[in-house]
Amino acid sequence: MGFQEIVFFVMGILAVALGGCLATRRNPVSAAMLLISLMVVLAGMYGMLDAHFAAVAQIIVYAGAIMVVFIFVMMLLNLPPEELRFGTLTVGEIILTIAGIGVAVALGTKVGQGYLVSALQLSEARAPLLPETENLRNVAATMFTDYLWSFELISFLILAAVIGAVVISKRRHGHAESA
Amino acid sequence: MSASPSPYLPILFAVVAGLLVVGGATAASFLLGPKKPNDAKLDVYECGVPVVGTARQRLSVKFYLTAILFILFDIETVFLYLWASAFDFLGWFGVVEVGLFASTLLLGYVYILKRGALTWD
Amino acid sequence: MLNPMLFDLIAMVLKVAVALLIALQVAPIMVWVERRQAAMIQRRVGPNRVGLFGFRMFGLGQPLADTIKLIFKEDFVPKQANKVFYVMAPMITGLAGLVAIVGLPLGSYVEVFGTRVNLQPVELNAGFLYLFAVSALGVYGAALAGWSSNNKYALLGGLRASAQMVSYEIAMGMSLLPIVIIFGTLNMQDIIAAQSGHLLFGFLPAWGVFYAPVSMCIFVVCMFAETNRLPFDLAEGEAELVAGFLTEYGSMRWSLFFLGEYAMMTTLSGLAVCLFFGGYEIPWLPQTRILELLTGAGLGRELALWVMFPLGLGVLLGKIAVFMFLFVQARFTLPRFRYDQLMDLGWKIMFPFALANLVVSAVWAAIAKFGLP
Repeated sequence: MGFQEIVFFVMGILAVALGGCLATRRNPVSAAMLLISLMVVLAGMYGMLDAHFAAVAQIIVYAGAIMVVFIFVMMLLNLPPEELRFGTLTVGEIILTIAGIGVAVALGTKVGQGYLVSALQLSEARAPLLPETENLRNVAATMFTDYLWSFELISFLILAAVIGAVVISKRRHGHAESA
Repeated sequence: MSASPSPYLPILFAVVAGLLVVGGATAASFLLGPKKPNDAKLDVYECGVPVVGTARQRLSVKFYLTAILFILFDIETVFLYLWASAFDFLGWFGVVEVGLFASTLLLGYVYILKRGALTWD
Repeated sequence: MLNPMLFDLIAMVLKVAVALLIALQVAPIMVWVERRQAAMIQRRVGPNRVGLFGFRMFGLGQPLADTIKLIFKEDFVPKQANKVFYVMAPMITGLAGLVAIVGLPLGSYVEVFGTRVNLQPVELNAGFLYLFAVSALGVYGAALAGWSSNNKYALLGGLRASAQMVSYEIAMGMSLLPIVIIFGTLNMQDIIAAQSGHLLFGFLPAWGVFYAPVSMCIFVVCMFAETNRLPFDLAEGEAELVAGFLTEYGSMRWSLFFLGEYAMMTTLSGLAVCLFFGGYEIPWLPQTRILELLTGAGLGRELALWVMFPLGLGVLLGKIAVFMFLFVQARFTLPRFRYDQLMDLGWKIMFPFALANLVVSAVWAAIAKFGLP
């Protein structure tokens, strides 16, 4: 096995281990920091698969923005550890956990992936639109021509999120507590 | 995966080297400094007066709002970088397209301004 | 003659080592510069006693003495602090600064045994977006420091510092878009190469600042806010919230924060220099011309390139030094912004300006490149 493949598999195992660790943390901020490391490892894996835009976007948006919201919310709520107790494990939770592991295993094998491809009717990968240029330019070229409608829909999604965020946090007609 | 060495390898090396430097500095201070703990030194610092209340209190929701708005405009910026890198290929068509995208988000921005969500008091 | 993989490995190690050494030397030098420059502005002398072997050297021994003192100071963890995150937070900030600086191009290239070695340690497909990614991760240092100290003023300071860094990251990112549009690439070496070699209006070097001056102004302001430097240093300034998120930190941990801060200042200044001021290229003397001159003088191509490497690095560091001078001047000249003024500036002035600048640049570039629609 080449050096690159070894690194890739190590990163994969690391990612799964981080995921398992973070799901069992008692302290939410610890879980959040583990999730950030997981995002960075994922970005590294995207990079090794030559998806350079996905790698950088993962760090900038996911690890650098979305996780900041997670951390801020945890710090704002500021719950003392006594209030964060584990409840007893219900039967429903056990069934869901087993089902989740089952789905993960299924998707990780060729059979599951084959099913997914045919169910979603994904076509095969096409040749890049701008041969001999870098990944970012190719992603841009494809996204702004073939996937134009999806791109414009994203702007509406973001608009909805903006309005939703403002409505949620400004429930009392502009009267907010000071800090 | 490409055959040439990954461009991400120097990043890994820099992280490892940086960790060595930073960890080494912390360890050096830990090992070489005196250890004379006493209660006054290790207590919470509030300008020398006794502490009032704990740190576990609710804080303003403005931080949350700032962070959420940051995500949304960051996503917009990332898409704009994508467009800018293929500016020549996309021509006027791309300019108009992205103009539409940015104006929808500008609507959101104007809404935020009008609602006063960005006013810190 | 060497195995190519080994060759790449050695080249990579050396490049990263040079970049990290630069970052590590910046903090002590800047400590000295800051104190002496502040003294000059405030019409006093500043530290000039500490020296080596009887030579005072204008007080250059001061940072050395400071570092030694900080290592030997007591390393404590407050009893109410969350130990793991308390130790981790300054390491995150320090690490972010160090990892960011390896994204800067130190020179054009050298040739060793016929193989071309690009002098940028980390050159990604995504170009200078790498620097944004790392500074986005640097936000966690401040947030975690505030939270783990379990001190309500530190928490508030940490949240405020993170919110500030985050607000100015948008304007910072948007202000650099016109550069990408104008030069057509995210690759820093290509942008630097496009800024040399020809002149604007016959006498100006073709620097990015002449193509996108508004971008440069917005970027410089955001640079100050990103690194928590005055006039935006409310989160760590004295007399506000004690010392902000640094309240419960002492000795080496405290200095690790400042290592990270100075390294980030250097990196962002380096980015500004590379995108707006021609990077490692001397203004009216492009590296291709120097190469011609040197090979014409009989030096041989490989040796000429090795001579040009420290030349380019020196030019880059000189331009960065101008920016650092600007940082310190601003610190001791401008009054501090109040926090709500700071956030207003970031969201209500910088962001619309950056967006308007982008629109104008995009339309102008489209007309220039594709003609009228």
